[in-house]
Amino acid sequence: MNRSARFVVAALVVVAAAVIGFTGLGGTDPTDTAREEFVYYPLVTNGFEYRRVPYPEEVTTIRLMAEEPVAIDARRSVVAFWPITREYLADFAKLDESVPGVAEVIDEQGVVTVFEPQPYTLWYPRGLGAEPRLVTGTEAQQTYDTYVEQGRAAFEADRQYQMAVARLQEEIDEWLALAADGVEPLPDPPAELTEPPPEPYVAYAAEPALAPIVQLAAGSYTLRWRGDDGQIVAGSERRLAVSGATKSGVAYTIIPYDRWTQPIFTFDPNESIYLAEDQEVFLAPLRVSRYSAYVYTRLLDPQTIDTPDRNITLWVPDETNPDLTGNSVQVTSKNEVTDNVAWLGYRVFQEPNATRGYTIEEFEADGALQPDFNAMRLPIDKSVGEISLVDPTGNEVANSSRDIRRVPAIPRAALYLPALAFIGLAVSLRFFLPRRHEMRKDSQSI
Amino acid sequence: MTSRLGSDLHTIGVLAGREFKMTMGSASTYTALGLALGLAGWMLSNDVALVRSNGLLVDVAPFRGPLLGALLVLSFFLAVSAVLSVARDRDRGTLEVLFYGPIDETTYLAGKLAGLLGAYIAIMPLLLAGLGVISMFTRFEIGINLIAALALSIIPAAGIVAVGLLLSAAAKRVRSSILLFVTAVGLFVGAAVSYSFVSRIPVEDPASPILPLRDALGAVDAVLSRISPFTYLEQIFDAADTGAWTAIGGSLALSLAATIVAALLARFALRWRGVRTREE
Repeated sequence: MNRSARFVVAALVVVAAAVIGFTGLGGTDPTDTAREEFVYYPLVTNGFEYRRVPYPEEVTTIRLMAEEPVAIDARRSVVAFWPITREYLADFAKLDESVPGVAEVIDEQGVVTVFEPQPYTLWYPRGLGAEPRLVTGTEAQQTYDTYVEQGRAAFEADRQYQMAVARLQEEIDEWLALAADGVEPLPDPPAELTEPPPEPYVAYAAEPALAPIVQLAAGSYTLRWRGDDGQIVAGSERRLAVSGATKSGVAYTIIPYDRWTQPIFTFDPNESIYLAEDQEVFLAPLRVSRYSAYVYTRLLDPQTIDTPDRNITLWVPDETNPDLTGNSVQVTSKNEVTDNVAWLGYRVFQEPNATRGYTIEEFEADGALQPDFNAMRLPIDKSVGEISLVDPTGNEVANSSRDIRRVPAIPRAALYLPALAFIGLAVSLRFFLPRRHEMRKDSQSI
Repeated sequence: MTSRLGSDLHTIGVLAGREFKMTMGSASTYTALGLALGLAGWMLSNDVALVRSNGLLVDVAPFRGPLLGALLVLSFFLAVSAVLSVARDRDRGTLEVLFYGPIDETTYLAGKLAGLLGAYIAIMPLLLAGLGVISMFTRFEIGINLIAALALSIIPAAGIVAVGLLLSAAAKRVRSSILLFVTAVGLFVGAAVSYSFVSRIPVEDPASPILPLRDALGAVDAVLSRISPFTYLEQIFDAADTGAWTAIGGSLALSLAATIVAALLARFALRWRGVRTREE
C-alpha cells in the first residue's frame, strides 16, 4: 500500500472513530438526567396564537415579540432530556408547583423594572380558531364577566329557540295525527316559525389568572424571578431576546382564472410574478411583516433543532393592521401608469359549456348572496410590467410593487441551445482544430 | 530584493499564462461549461414547465439554483484540473525540469493558482452569456444580486483550486491524487447524505441506537461542512439571495483565509513530497 492510500485509509479510520466515539458518548437514558428545576412557563405569542412554552434552566434565552404582552409564569418541575427531539422537557404531570413572586427585567443600561402579577385572560372574540388577544388588568375580569354574561344569554336564546322548534314539531305531529285520523273539518296547519335562529356565540374567554405581564420594546434584557421571601430564585436568570419585524410590506394572494381554488402567494417584495402568456389573474393584497426565520420559529419552539441560516427571513401576515379595503392596484406598463384596478367582488358561475367549466364575473349585490372572493383583476395586457398598491389618496403603499413578466411559450429544448453550443465548441477543439503544445516555449521564456 | 520579486512575478505570470492557455484551449473546459449550462437549462426548464402547468410562478431569483448548480459543476471541474495539474507535471518530469530554473514551490503553485483562477474568470462571461440567452427565451430575470454573487464567487473558487493543488501536491502520482480527491469529496458528500438519511429514520424509543448515531453523524457533517470550500460558494449565493451583504463579507473573509491556509499547506506538501516521482 503506498503512502497516499495509507493516508486515505487513515482519514476514513479517523472519521469512523469520530462517529463511533460520538455514538458511544451518546445514548443517555432520560430518567438518568431528570432533575427538579425552576421552569418559566410563559404564555407567549407569534402574533397569531398564544401558547404555553416551558423554558427549563438549560434553555438560557427566552425569545419574545416586541410590543406584544406576554404572561410570565414560574413553576418548579422535573426536567429531563428527551434525546429523540433533543429537547429538555418539563414533566408537569410529575411536579407542577407554582413559584410565587415577581418578574424583574433588567435592560442593557442596568435599569430594573419589576412586573407584579396582575389578572389576565385570553380573549377570542371571533372564536377559538381565530387569533386571540391577551387582556390584562381590570379589563380581564370585565371581559370574562361579559363573556360569561353574553355566553349565558346566547345559550338561553338558543334554548328558547330550540324549545320553540320542539313545540312547533309537537304541533305538527298532532296536526298530522288528526289528518291521518280523517278528522273533519281539519284545522289549519301550525304556522311556521317567523323568528330566525339566534346567531351562534363563538367568542371565548379563559378564566382570569394572575401573572406578571411583560410587554417590551425590541432589545436584549435579563429576566429573573424574585420570590416572596425577597430573594432571587436560584436558576431563574435568563436572557430575554425581544425582536420585532424588520420590514413591513404588502403580500398578494394570486388567484389564477383557471385554478381559482388554488391561489398562490407572493410575500416578498423582491419576488417577480411570472405568468403564462394567456393567464388571467386576480390579486388580493394583505399586509405582511418580515422577521428573521431563526427567531420567528423559536418564539413558540425555542428548542427546535432546525437551524436555518441566520439571514433567511420570513414574511408573515400582519394581523394588527389588516385593512386594505379602499386601496387599488396601479398597473404600470413601460414605466407609465396605464390602469388603476379597484378591489371588487367576484362570483364563479358553473357553466358546463365553458372551457374551464366555469366563468368568473363581477359580483352584483343581490339579496343575501355574497361574492366568492374579493380581488383586483389584472388586465391580460402583455405589456404590463409592474403592479403596486395605491391607497385612497393615490400614494403607493410601501413595499407593495411586484414585477410582472409573461413567459412566452417556447419549446423546452431551446433552453439547451447554449449548452449544445459549448459542447459543439469542445468537439471542434478536440477533433477539428490542431492542438498546440507551448510548454517548450514557456520553459524557454522562463 | 526588488529584482527577485520582479523575477518571481514574471515567473508566476508565465506559469499562469501557460496554465490559463492550457485550460482555455482544452476541450474539457468547454465540455464542463456545456454541462454546467445544460444543468442550468434543465433546472430552468422545470420552472418553465411549472409556469405552463400552473399558469404562474412566483420567485425572487429563478436563476439562483441554476447558476449555483452551474458554478458547482465548473468549480468541481477546476478542482479536478488542479488535482491533475501538479501530479501530471510531476509524472511527466516537467516539474523537475521547471525547478532547475528560477522556480520554487511558491512561484510554481502561485502560477498554477493564478492560471486556473484566470480561466475561471474567463469562463464567467461565457457562462453569463449562455444564461443571458436562456433569460431572453424565458424572460426570467437574472438579477443584479446574482451577478454580484457570480463576481464574488472568484474567492471561494480560489479556495476550491487551492484544495485541489494541496491534494495534488501531497500525492506522488496522478492516480494517488485522484484517490485523495475522490476520498475528500466522498467524505463531504457522504457525511451530508448519511446524516440526512439517518435523520429521516423515525425513532420512538429514546434508547434507540439510531439516536447517538444520528448525533455523531450530525457532528461530523457540521465539522466537514465547515471546512468544505463548496460550502462558502453556497453561502455567498444564499446571502446574495436575501441581500445580506454583511454575511457575504463574513463568508468571503473565511473563504479567503481558507484559501491562504490551503495554498500554504500545498507549498509545504510540495516541498515535503519533492518534484520527482520516485526518490532516486
